[in-house]
Amino acid sequence: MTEINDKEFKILDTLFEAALVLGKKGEIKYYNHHFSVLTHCSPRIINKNRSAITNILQFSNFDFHEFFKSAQKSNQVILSEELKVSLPQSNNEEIDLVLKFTPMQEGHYLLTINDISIEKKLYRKYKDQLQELKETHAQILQADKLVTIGELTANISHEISNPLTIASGNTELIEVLLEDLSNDVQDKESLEIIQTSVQDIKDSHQRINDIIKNMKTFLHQSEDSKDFHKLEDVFNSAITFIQNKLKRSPKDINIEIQSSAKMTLINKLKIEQVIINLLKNSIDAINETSKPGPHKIQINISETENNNMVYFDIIDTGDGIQDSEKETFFTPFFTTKEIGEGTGLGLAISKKIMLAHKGDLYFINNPHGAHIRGELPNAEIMSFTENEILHGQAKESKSIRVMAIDDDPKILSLINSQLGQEGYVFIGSSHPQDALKIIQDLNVDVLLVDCIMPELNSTQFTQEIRSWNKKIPIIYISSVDNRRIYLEDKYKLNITDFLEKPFNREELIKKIRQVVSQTKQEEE
Amino acid sequence: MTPLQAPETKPSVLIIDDEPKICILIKKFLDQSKLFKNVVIAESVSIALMKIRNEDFDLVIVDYNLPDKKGTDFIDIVSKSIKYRKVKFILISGYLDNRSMMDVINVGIKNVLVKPFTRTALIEKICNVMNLKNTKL
Repeated sequence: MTEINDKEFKILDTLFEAALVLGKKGEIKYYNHHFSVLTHCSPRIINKNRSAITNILQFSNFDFHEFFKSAQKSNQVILSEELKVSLPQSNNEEIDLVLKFTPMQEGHYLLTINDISIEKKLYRKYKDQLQELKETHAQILQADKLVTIGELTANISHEISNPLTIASGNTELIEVLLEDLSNDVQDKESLEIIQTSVQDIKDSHQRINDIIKNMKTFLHQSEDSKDFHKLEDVFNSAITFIQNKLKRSPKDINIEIQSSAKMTLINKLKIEQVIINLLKNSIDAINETSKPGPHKIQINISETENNNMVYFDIIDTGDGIQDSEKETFFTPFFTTKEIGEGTGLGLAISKKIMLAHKGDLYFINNPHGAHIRGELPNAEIMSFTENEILHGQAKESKSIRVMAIDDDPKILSLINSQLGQEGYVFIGSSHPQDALKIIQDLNVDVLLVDCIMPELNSTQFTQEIRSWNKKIPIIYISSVDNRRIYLEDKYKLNITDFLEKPFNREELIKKIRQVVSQTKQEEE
Repeated sequence: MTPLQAPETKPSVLIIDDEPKICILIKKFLDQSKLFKNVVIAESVSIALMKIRNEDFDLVIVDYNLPDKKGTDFIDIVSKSIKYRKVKFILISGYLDNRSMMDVINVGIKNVLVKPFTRTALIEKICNVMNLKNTKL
């Protein structure tokens, strides 16, 4: 059947694209070799479907017979649009085609099929990448804009704060002096007018002050919310994200984590993004290197000597960073990857994220491979600075410093958000030893202590504080089972109260208010 | 006005700010509280370093942004010397961004007063730092 009457169609077999000769009803009269390659169809299947071409090529959104009829009518060469076709004989694989009808003698039609799948795929790939590039670029622009607004606000509030301090301070001074003089003044009426004026000036200063504070607070809140997390947990979840890339890597890469479980106050998503970026770079570097294995990525989490910063090191066994690259390493659009592979924005954004967390990201010279270090302030410092900037000056009567020591990041995050809304300065700590250091040189007004902690338990912890003659009110927080610890220590160590886990916001705030007012009374 | 209850030896204070009016204002506040023996003003870190060498101070109130050096640099230099071991510090500043706050933490200052501050806030902070009883508040 294939050779229908004439051998002249045989010439079609030499074509490099799929070609068919169709009869008047659109049935296949002849097909070339390339057609069966393209459709993954054996001659047996094609022969079976000679009069039903749509069983071999399944068009979506395209009526083949309608198109064929219009081609017959016009009797001219007709091109179709770009068509999406699925191939039933090849697991419904999708390809992109353009059909071309050429009328022949005796009502026959030559149908040539142009496979444009590869071009389409490339087109789509570059379109996606271009889109991605545009989006990241927009993100950078947005981030830069926020930074500029931030700097502007900082400058304005800084410039205003000096004259405002002088104006409001002197007004206060006048008020106090006026009070002292009031008994000696004869003209009570004028005195009253002056006093009212002074009060008005004071109120206006207060309003200016509030506006500036609101500006600062607004800026602060526009940054993302931070929660307490153990850095190791963040690494572990980042590693699950790159499992796929790891599996696809032709080399066997081992990831090792060494950690001294340190708590941080961070935006988890962003820091995760930084870590994923860095790990991906490491994997790419290892894939490219010609060095012999075994290959590994070593992650160390540790803290600096003065205990203020937590840092992580990512060391890989790739080719490392070239001297010539060091200058431009963190600048946007720097990339050593193939065109289309990397945007060159990952490291620039990563560095920005780390800086926004009051940390840093830099590389360390290492002859064996790339060594990148990221630094973040530890949870204690971070929560203190964040809250001190935000609430510290809000209302003097309220700048009460509450410190909680608990090794569960969720509890710390919860208390942080609950107290933040009320304007308290909250300091979260996961390590009793670190907490002790902070209490030593910082005035903490209320302490919330978890009964069960690593290193020191609550009793030992409190004993240490009481041994310095510090009267700070202490509230134990723990599950109801540990109430007995509170009862034991209550008088011995002067523990003010017990807060049972789980607790809600009202309970927490109520206990702290009680303790604060109690302490004030005692002082008086 | 009733004088505030003062300890037997009144502390001396050094104020460092490049804005003379702020210095004078703080000085007025402190003088008027009658809590302090001696209140001295310096307008830059170098002048302040000279003054602290010639005279004993118990408390230094220092601005963060100063013309020659940062306030934290001053604290860093001074707190390294054993002679000034007992000196307490309060940092005042118009605005502390993230980075400068880390500077502050790293030199070990835990007492920061953000401008604009009120007289009450200032006195309260000082009493807190110096462990003074302030009966008026």
